[in-house]
Amino acid sequence: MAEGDAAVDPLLRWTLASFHAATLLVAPLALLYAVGALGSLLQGVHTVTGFGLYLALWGLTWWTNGRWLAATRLDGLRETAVPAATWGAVTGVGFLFVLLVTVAASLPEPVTVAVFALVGAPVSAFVGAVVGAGFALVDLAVVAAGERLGTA
Amino acid sequence: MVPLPLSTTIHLFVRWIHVLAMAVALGGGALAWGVSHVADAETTLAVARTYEVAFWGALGVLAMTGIGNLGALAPAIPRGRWGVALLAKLGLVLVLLAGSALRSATVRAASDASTPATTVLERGYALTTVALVAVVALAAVMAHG
Repeated sequence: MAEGDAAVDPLLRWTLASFHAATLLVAPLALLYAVGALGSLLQGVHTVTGFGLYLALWGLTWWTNGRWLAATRLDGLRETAVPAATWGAVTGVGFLFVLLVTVAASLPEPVTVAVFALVGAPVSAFVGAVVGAGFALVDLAVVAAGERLGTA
Repeated sequence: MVPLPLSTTIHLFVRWIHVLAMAVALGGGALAWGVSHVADAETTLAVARTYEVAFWGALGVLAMTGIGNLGALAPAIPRGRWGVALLAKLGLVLVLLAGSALRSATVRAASDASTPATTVLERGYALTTVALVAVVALAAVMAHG
């Protein structure tokens, strides 16, 4: 366990990581189904591969949430959102890496994979940072509301 | 006995895991609701903290196997009335996710409080159980029409 992780509440880490990973799956799923693009996308993904990708996202989110929670006291927007954006970017790039490994296993063309990596890294870092900061704002509101509701 | 093809076996396994995870989430929610109604604060919080860990594990498995179930229908995923039920189910799951994050944060705060709000927890588990029953009802509509 990395230094700082020991101070993180394991229930909060598990809750937020699972909340983020499940939301990152369910929200795009609903959107893709609504626009009629889900069937063709799922056709190309084997069940076991899909499970592996989700477990990778869940594990990655658990790890980065631990690092984020170790870097914040959850008591201010900027203090919470800046490390969340940083670790969100790490999550984005990490998940891109997992995707590239998966693609490389079925598409043995190193040049194509390298191009995906070069173009995808900054894009996934940016998207991860935005999503991470967005989740931080939601988490901040959820934790503050929980503290108000939890005390009689 | 004729052995099932591998893909059929996998899809059957995925459905069983999906149902099992829902049993953990729904059964645990009903148990936590019942316990929070009759037990003292210490027992309520002990059950609540255990349930929160199990709930988020079950919900992750439900999301993962849920998309596996959809993948079994691809590329011709039905639309029409079935599609409306699917979108309603996904919308309800998103509400459940946000509400459960709030419920878990409340359990965390109540664990540290000198006077924990067990009535709020009881309401939270009641809402969770009702929402999960609604998700199961929508799943039944999708499976059987």
